[in-house]
Amino acid sequence: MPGDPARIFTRLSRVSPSVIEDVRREFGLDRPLFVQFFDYIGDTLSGSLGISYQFARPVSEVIAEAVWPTVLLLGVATIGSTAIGLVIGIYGGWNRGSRTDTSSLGFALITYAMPEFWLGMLLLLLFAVTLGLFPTSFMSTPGLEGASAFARSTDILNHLFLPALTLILALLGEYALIMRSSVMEVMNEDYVLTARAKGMREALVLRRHVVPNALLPVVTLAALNIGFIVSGAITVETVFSWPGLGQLTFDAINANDYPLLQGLFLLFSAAVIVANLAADLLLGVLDPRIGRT
Amino acid sequence: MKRLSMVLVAGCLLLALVPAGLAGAQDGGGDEPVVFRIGSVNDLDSLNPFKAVEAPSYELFELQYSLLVGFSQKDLSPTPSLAESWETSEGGLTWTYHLNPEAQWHDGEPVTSEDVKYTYERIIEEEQGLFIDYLRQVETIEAPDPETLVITTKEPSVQMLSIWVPILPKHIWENVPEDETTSFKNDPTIGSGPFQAVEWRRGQFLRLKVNPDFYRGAPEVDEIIFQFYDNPDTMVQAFKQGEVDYIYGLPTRLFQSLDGEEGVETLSSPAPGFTELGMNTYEPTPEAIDKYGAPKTSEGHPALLDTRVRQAINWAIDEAELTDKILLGEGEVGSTLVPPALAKYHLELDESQVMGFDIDRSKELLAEAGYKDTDGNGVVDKGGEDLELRLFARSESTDTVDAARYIQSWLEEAGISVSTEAVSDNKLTDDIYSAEYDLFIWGYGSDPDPDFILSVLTCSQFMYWSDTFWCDEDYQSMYEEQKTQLDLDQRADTIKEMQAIAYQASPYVILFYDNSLEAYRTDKWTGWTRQPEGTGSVLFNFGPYTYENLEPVSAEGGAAAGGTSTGGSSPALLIVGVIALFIVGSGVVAFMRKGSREDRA
Repeated sequence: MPGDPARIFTRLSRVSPSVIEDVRREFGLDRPLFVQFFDYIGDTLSGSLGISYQFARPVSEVIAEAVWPTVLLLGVATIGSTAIGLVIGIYGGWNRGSRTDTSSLGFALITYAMPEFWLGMLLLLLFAVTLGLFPTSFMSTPGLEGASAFARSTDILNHLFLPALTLILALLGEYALIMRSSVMEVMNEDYVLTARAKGMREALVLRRHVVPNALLPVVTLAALNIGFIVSGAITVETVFSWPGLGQLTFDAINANDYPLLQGLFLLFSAAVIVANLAADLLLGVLDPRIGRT
Repeated sequence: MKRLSMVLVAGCLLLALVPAGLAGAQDGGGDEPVVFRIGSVNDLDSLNPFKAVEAPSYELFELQYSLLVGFSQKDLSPTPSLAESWETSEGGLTWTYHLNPEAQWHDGEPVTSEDVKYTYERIIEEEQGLFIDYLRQVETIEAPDPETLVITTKEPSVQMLSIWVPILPKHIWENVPEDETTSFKNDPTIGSGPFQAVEWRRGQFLRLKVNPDFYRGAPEVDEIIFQFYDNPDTMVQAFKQGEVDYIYGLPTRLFQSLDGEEGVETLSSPAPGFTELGMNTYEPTPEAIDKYGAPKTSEGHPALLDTRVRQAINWAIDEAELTDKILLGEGEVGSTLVPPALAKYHLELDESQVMGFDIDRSKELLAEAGYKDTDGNGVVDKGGEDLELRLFARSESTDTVDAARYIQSWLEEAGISVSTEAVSDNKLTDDIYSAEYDLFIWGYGSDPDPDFILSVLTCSQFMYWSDTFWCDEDYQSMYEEQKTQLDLDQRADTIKEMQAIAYQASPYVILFYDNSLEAYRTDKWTGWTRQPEGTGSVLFNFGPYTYENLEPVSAEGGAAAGGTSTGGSSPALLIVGVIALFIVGSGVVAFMRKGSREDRA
């Protein structure tokens, strides 16, 4: 492991080796690694994630501050990308090969294939610099603390637009593709043929029989994605200086801030597990076959 | 049914537009504070003067605190700051300073000579390394009355008017125990300067408020905000957009891209600083470990302890090419420790002394030190081990990353295998203090007086400013001697000799003296003040002159400068409105259709 935590704490104070030993003892760094590991588990179970080296504050506090910006950004991005992705996918699957299908799917795949930070830079150049519509960075304008709640939320919305759009564009290709193939698959099912045979209108066949069944794999995908989105948000948050978990991770890696990194990884793992659980429960609601067994 | 849906849609449309209209109305307010915004890719490292080493922290201290004696805007000569006047006794051992009676701390307490005495004595007693070299010659400090300070020195000293030590409030700091001097958060930050730091969010921004009772008169600017960007490209775009009024520390290529931009001035000015390749020359000794608290072991490559290897590295680096390719001409080719901006003390090397660019000479020196390529793999070796070095560049400065790439390829030509890594300043600082490095690229800014920049290579700066662990007895004793040489020509001779020693020993290879690169908006602000007059930079120099002189261009300009991009239209709100409208509208339509279909199906 690079970097000596005891050194980080005693930096720029000319201390004798005995003081450094004291710091080691205080943080338990002098004990064998496996003992430290069990210390860590014990502390975590009792709700303490340790002290961040970099901020000199409890890790849980530092993370709590960065959670909401990320939840806001990822929430908007997930809702936006699934909504648009589903529309493109449903339309494409239903009208496979049409001009709208090929062009919208092509667009979604191109933005999906772009590295997020590059896409972010391009959007920033277009919307912030050329058109001058949106601010380039941060979550709010520094120094606006005294303004009214309404002005502040408008300000946050303005700042949210570009990073959220970047993530939406980057993510929607996946949803569009999965939904499209899922719709095409369901269209070959017997119950769709039956529905058509009894003379149901096409639009109703799509809404009642195709979409609900085709939706199931997308729910699973959205849940699985949450883990990956956090890493994707690292680059997007860095481009737009968005003060969320991605930027915090980036800083923690740069600063050898191990307690903070441990806390973040714990949170990311928990998020993936919770999202998967939520997906399983949601599937039960969406698919009565699962709910009943 | 159709008519009903139309009514609903129209209603939604209205609802969406009303808040947007309100937003527009609110921005017209005229009482906005005048806010000056600075963009930086480099964050502060601390609000505590005993801990901070990064440039933005020093810029903050410039605004937040006062020095006893300042540096004039015209030519950096001593100028009144906290002290209005001063005199020295015959023989130069006793200095008497008369303090400005108007000066007060941000919390309203008066600034007295006791505060100055307290600050200096604390540094001396605790041997606070970042400042101790300004005060080593001090014998006694007395405060006979609140406005008078008397300092006697052990020997005559050239330094008594260039002490770069922020004066701290005694009534705050006397409550900070000695073992917490460097870990004290210093928040809220009480000083006596023209501005006070009120809010610092690491990685985001630092906000300062004007000190209305400042003893030289309150500046026009009400607030200064430093905004920290993760990425210089974004910062330049934000500057073009008008989100910040001033940016500095740009990669040269981005700086030059701003040339000719409307309403913007770009300024490239020679700065008293340099960028260097530093080498780990640490050899643990009991003295270094016990007295200076240096690490018990060195993780540096032992080859770097050999002067010949360091010289070989110096010979393998083409400083002129780097200046040309990286600085694109915005600076001078590097050579000796004191930058040419300090003309009197800078050592200009003879042609014969210069370690230029000569790979063959480099290979010869490596061979003399016992490093030869015996196994024919292109890398020199000794005792069966290839010579492999790590080179750290700063992720916060792309110029150093580019320079590292050139240096790596030259060293590999000479037969030294190099692995380059870009790391954060924080990590690099920690690696240096733990002696876990071989080579790194970083920079230094000098004071107007050469004492500081000379001190960074002294043994007594181990674990403070020293980043090479280089320690040379001759250099050290000459360093102490030059502090007392009142004959400035003699002092210059000593200092030049010191530079020659350091150049030969090569703990540093000074790559270039980089100009300070700044870009600022002249369409919004006037009062940009260069220090020294006509040649220097406007900010990040040795006094808060620009901050005190800045004025918005006009009443309207002021509003524009204050409001920046928060005002005006709110396109995001409009978009949210349109989306909400779409969702509600389609929901209504779907509901109605459903109703009508259900009947038929």
